[in-house]
Amino acid sequence: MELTSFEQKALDGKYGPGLALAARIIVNLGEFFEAPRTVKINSAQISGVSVKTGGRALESVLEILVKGAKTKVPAFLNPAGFDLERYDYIGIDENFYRRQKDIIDKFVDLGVIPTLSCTPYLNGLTAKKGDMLAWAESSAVSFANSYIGARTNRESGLSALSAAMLGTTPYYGLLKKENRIPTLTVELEDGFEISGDLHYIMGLIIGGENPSAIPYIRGIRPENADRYKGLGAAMAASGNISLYHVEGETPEWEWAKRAITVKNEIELPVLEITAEQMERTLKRVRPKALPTVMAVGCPHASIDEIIRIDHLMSAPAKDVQFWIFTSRQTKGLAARMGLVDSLTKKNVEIFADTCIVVSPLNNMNIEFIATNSAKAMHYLPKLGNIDAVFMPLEEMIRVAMEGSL
Amino acid sequence: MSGNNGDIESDREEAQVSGIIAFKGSGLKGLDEPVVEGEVILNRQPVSFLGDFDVETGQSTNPDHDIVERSIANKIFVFPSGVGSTVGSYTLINMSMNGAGPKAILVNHSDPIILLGCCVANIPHIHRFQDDIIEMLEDGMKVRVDSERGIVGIID
Repeated sequence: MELTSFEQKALDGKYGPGLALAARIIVNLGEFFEAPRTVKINSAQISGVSVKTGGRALESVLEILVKGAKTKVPAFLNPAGFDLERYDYIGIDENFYRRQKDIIDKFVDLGVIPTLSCTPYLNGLTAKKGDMLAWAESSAVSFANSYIGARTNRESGLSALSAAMLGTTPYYGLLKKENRIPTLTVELEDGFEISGDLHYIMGLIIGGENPSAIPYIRGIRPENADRYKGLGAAMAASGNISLYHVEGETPEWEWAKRAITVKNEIELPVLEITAEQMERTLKRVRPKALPTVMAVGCPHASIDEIIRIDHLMSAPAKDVQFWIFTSRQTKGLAARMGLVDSLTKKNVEIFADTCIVVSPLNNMNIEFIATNSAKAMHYLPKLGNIDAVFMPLEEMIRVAMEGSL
Repeated sequence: MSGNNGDIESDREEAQVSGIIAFKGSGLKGLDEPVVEGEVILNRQPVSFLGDFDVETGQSTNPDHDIVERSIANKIFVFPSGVGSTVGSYTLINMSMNGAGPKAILVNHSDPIILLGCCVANIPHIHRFQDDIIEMLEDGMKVRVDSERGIVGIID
């Protein structure tokens, strides 16, 4: 891979051990993917914050990087393992808390912005069509590529952080226009319509059946950014889908449609989503008993979603714990609007800094969770050893208020 | 890009002149100590650093491994390919910090997880060998690894 003179000097250690390590990672990653060169990035989003998974290795990487180096572009941080202001609530001990806090402080020393959120695009990290990014969180990668039309590969925590320090990333994969052409057409069965949270189940089906596809989806009209957020998260969880196009909706759809026509004399494979298939999938994931915990906010809830929950919940939750996960910023906004007080009175807890999937729910003797997030439902059994079922938001709220299914 | 193919023959000749058999692949660049010598430990099954090893001792805990219950600590670890979660980079680094990491990694099909772990932990790493490295080396052999040039030579 061809290096800029800045990158070469960084690799040779001219700017100290911090940038030398960042350059070593970017250069070797570029060689691995046979990238011809690097490109400048507009921003980075960094995963791998949790002390539980990173351990001493993460602490030591941060200690090396901080030697003489700072981020060159805005870099936002993914959620941590627990809410830093409520760690005692979920059985985190003081020592574990301090180590996590220390890791976040080290990121801050590097110039990383500690949003601790999987939705950087809701918390001040904007991008435009065609921008080159180095984002790591899979649902954010999908959102940036698909909804915004920016370009990012699914980075690891180490590569996103190194890209942020250098301001560049290897030019390969989804950064190249020719690799963004759809490989699959998704259609709905005649007369079948998808609405509301069922978009997420559709995402789960698409990713499950075609894990490495770039889908071109016809016949859906997700009504807002939150819908795209959950749809993309589901496809990225059940598959490795980092980019999809929605006909008539997403910024690259017209280009994608032309590209299919030009490129493919042979027609793309078609996945038809049928009412029967949706029914079958739902049957598998429906609750069979009253869930003890209900969770919303995977990816992190927007202020609009919190407003909506408060509005729909006309009475307090009974016999279930109802949780919302969001960013610290959005929680602050909710507090200012009186929503935190209002929701607390309705037995709804709002957690910030963390995520449903990485929270140590085992500490709290939780057996199963209902959620409207297809992503959380997919990961909770695998990562947390917790049963998870799907309920659309409106149903969750109704059941929570009634205290029965 | 991956390895400078023009040099392969000359590297081979050079290696053979100095009395050793050499294999060429694509090596990690920019390590603090790119050249190491050590004893081969060879595993014929794919490897996931997250889950397959005891992080304190470097011992394989995977019953499907040829090397189950043996430790890769300070050995030249040879295996066909990597599998598994991106957290594996940190596991490999943690192993290395515990003194339980391999001295070098020789692998036919690597992945970014192993690659970045080696970058951070300063572990020489060569992949994309011209020949199947599993067939070329044997458990217990003594080899010299030059990560910068992407060459492995059999010493003994």
